[in-house]
Amino acid sequence: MNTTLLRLVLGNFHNVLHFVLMSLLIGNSSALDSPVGVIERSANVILGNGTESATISCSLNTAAHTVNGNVWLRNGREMPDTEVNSSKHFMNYTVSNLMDAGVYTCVFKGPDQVNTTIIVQGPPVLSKHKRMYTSVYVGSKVQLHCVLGLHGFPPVSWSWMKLNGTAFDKIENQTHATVTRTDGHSVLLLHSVQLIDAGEYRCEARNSAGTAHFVQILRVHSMRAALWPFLAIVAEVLLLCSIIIGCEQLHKSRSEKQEELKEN
Amino acid sequence: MPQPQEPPDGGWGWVIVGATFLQFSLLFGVLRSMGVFFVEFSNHFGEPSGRVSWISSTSLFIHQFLSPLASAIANRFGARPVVIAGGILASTGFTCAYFAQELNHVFLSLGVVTGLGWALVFGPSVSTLSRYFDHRRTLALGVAFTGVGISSFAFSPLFQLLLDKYGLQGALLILAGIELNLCLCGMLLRPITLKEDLMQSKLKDKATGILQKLVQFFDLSLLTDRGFILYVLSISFTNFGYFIPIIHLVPHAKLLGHDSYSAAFLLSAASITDIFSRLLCGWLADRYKAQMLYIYVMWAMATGITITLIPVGTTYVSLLMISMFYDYLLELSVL
Repeated sequence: MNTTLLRLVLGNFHNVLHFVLMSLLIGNSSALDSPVGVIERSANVILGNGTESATISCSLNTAAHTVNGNVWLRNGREMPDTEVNSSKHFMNYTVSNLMDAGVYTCVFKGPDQVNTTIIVQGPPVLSKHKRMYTSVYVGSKVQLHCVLGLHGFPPVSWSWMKLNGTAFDKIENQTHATVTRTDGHSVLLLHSVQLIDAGEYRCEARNSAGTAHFVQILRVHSMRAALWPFLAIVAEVLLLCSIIIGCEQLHKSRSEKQEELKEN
Repeated sequence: MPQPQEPPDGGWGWVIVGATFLQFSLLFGVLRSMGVFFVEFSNHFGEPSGRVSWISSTSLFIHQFLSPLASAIANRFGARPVVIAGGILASTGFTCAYFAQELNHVFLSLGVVTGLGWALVFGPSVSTLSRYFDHRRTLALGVAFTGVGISSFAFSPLFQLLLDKYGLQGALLILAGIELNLCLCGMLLRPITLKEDLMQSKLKDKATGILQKLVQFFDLSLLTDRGFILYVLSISFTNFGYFIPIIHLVPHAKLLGHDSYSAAFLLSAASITDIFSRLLCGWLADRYKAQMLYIYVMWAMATGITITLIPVGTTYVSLLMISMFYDYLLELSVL
């Protein structure tokens, strides 16, 4: 008896949870905008990995509303090219590339304006740096940058990692490394670089539509390292110079002796 | 008192050829391959690359401009000490660049000091080489100048390797050591007294007053010789355009859409023909000494025609052929 009751409660709980979740989801997309069921909208789109374009559409269910035009909004701002003055109860828009990610709102204009939003998610894309490596000296301050070429939607979260052996270790904010994140730009700051900081650094920009990453190589040199070859070369030059001087003195003394012999 | 002699045309002369070969490779090879460092300089000092390119311009300018002064000093003190001093100066320039905190310091050290050192090295070595050879002079000069081609071929990857292993300042320090080898070459320039020296020393004692002394120091009496003036003018005009096509060849190719590796190879290919042409011209000029003037005019004209063909070359193969041909003719005319 207890188990069946438990099962019933659990089963119902699952159903209730499911219902609550679904209503939340649907409610998110059209809550506070219009009564549920007035506008039929196409599904949210996730761009990326082959899906570069999609068509989103809205259509009015009821004939009760009078429509004299429609327009699309992107991220809250009107797109004037999409403005149409017609009484059509259907509107669509083609999202043609990854740059078009964002929150789209379809608006049916008229005495009673109705609208609903469709989310078009897109992956971020990092802009490639010209240099793949940064060369610094021990003790100096280094900034490693990662810049978003394409912001994507929703906003990204950044993370920095350093290659350790075969795996990447996550870098947290420590005393000698700080990560700053601003809109579309993340900087890893190493205050005083040491030789162990050399290696590959990977920055990752992640959102629900995809991930972009970029690997940079940091090279750390010590100022003293070049001193030994330099001293070796100087020693070689001095040695060869002395050999040349020695040979010439020998040659000179020999030719002088020959001249003396000739004169005598 | 060493006996005055005829130019030996061999013997120790070939050692001098080897020494000048090394000198020119350390001088022009480094100068031409300096471009490898530019990006690092630009990043290290945070200056735009336009400013950084002034480094090689400054050193080249000082080198060329102070050449007459260097020759005059070598006339007075002898070639050997001047060249050794030049080597030490060039090395010091690089060492100062190692300690530089700003780009202006680099202009002073790598530009002025090293340029001065190179000026002191170049003129006296060429004149010493010329003194040791008479009949085979152009051949000897040609062989010595091949050092330029070989070293610009080899130094670019070497510099990149030094940059990767030691960083910018480490590479500069190692280059300072390498430039010190110029002193070594200076050591080998054994002075030689020729018969014509004895005649000149008789004229020297007549100078009085500072202006007269200056005139004699620089041997400005040369300027009254019409042939000399014409020759100088001709070489000056050639020099105006000399470096420009070579330096801009690679960016031009990149602009046309060729990838940077093939574009860099254009310069290497041009260096290869450079080497061959210098040897060929050296041999030719010695055999046909009487017609040297006509040969010179012919090659100079051909060089000019080749340059006008450069805009025509759009495919990679045609660019390659044109650049090789151009460098070949250029070196022939210069020599």
